[in-house]
Amino acid sequence: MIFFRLILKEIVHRKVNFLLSVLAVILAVGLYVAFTMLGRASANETRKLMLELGQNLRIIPKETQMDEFWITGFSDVTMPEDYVYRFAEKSGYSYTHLTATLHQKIQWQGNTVILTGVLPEVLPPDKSFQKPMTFTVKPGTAYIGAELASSLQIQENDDIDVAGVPLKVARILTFKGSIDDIRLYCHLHEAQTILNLPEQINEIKALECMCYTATDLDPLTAAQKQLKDLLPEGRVLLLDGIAQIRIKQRTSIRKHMNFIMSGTFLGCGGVIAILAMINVRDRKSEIGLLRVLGYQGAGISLMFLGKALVTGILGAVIGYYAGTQLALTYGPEIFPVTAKSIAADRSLLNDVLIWAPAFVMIASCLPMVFAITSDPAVLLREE
Amino acid sequence: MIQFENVQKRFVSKDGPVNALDGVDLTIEKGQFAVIRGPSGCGKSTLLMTMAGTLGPTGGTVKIDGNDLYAMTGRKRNKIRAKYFGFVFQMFHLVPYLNVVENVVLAGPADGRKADKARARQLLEALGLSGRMGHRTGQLSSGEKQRVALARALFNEPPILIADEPTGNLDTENAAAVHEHLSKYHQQGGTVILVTHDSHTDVQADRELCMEKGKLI
Repeated sequence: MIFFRLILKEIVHRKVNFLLSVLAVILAVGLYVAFTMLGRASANETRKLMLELGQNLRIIPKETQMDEFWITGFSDVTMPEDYVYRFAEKSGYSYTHLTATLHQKIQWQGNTVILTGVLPEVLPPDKSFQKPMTFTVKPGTAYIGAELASSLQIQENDDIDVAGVPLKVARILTFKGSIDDIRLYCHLHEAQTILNLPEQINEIKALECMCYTATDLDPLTAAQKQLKDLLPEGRVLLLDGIAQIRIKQRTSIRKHMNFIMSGTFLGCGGVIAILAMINVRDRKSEIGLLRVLGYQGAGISLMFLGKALVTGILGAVIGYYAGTQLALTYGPEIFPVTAKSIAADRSLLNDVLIWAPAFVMIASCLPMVFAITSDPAVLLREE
Repeated sequence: MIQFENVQKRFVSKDGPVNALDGVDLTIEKGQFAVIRGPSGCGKSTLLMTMAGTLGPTGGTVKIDGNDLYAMTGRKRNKIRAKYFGFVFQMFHLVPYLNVVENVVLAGPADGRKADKARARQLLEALGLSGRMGHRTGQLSSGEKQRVALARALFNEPPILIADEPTGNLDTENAAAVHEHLSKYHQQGGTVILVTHDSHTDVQADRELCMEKGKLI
């Protein structure tokens, strides 16, 4: 009881030290709570924004030999061209760019050529004036890869014949240093005629697709599930570029938050530790006196730990509410997409009620142990 | 009652080792009023603090009623200190955030007693501080502070009163008042051990000891 009274009276007497200590705890706890809440909001925001960027899907025939596919870059089997229109009409799914292609390796004029039939982009109904992502090959024309054109000395406006289909070379493409250099592009329907594969395609590319059905599944699984019935002969792959960006973004945010949190804890922890040390140093004479009077070290320790407990609990409670208020005030402005999901989290209060007092007590421990293990006379002489 | 046998205390200072107590042999009987005089730095306070169990010696034994103070646990030594000794220091060592009465009762719980404020008030009245009971120590004069410290020292009715330069910060009038209270305590059967560097301090002691360079001479 006497120690409890001493704690309270000492707190009142050394208000500035106490208030600074509580302030440091409030700052540390407040920032922890605010950053944790905003960090979660930031992660949600990023996830949602990334989802809004959409998925880039590749739909290929189900029976595709995947090893060959990854080597050649296209499927060796085909699926109905109708799939692209079915996809376009699918409700609950939106896209920005949708194309269908038919690729086949052919021999033409003594050269191995990748014949690529391209269907003009199927535009979303609400974006009929959108600029297409890829070039459009008009019927009766062809785009020739640079290597192929050079090898066969083909020039723009030349007339060519591919398996009985006459085409005019509309453009010689620039060197890309890839398989595109031996590609011959034409309209999909002409490629189907050349290859005798009417109404067949072997790839659909759907860029920036968004599924409007709420799901906890990852984007690829969700897309596969949704398109299973619609395109029974199709197989859905995810273009990995966006996925990689998402992972990088999430990692970057996590690292950023960890850095801020570490800095906050280090700064506030240092201030708390220094104030605790100053407090114990200022009270060496008092510790000496209590020990001279015959008080046991454990009782004196309780007095200091009790004060640390009061400081930690007070700082934790105020810091929690301050941090929550900070996050609730500024969070919705910073993260408008996930504004509604920013809410007070009581579990954070439980966390800070444990670690904040524990931290202040640990910070007080070292000078306190030194003080209560020294000879009382030595402490009294130091005044 | 208090027995020193070849007690040594060495410190290491910037200028090298210092023998604050250099083989001190001393016996102080119950009810004695002993004054220990000597110049500053001769080891008087060290002797006093070692006697009271607040400063461990480097060698030798310190016994109180036959119990070796420094052979026992720190916990037991604390209890002995609370039971046997009252302390008055030159610097008063009052707790600044407690009022006068609270400072006096602070000694009680250490000896397992209640913080009996009525007894504290009684002691303070006897020491002429009846009008200062609710004051903080910062509002008191030096003489008043020392009388509060004296009340605290007497609160547990200890058999031995240790006074380390109690009048060092007081004017003549207040010093005389403190000496008078110490004499009164002695007359009531208490043992007083007073340390002073002032050879002119006028106290009615029944034993005078002189220290020089850590030795009793």
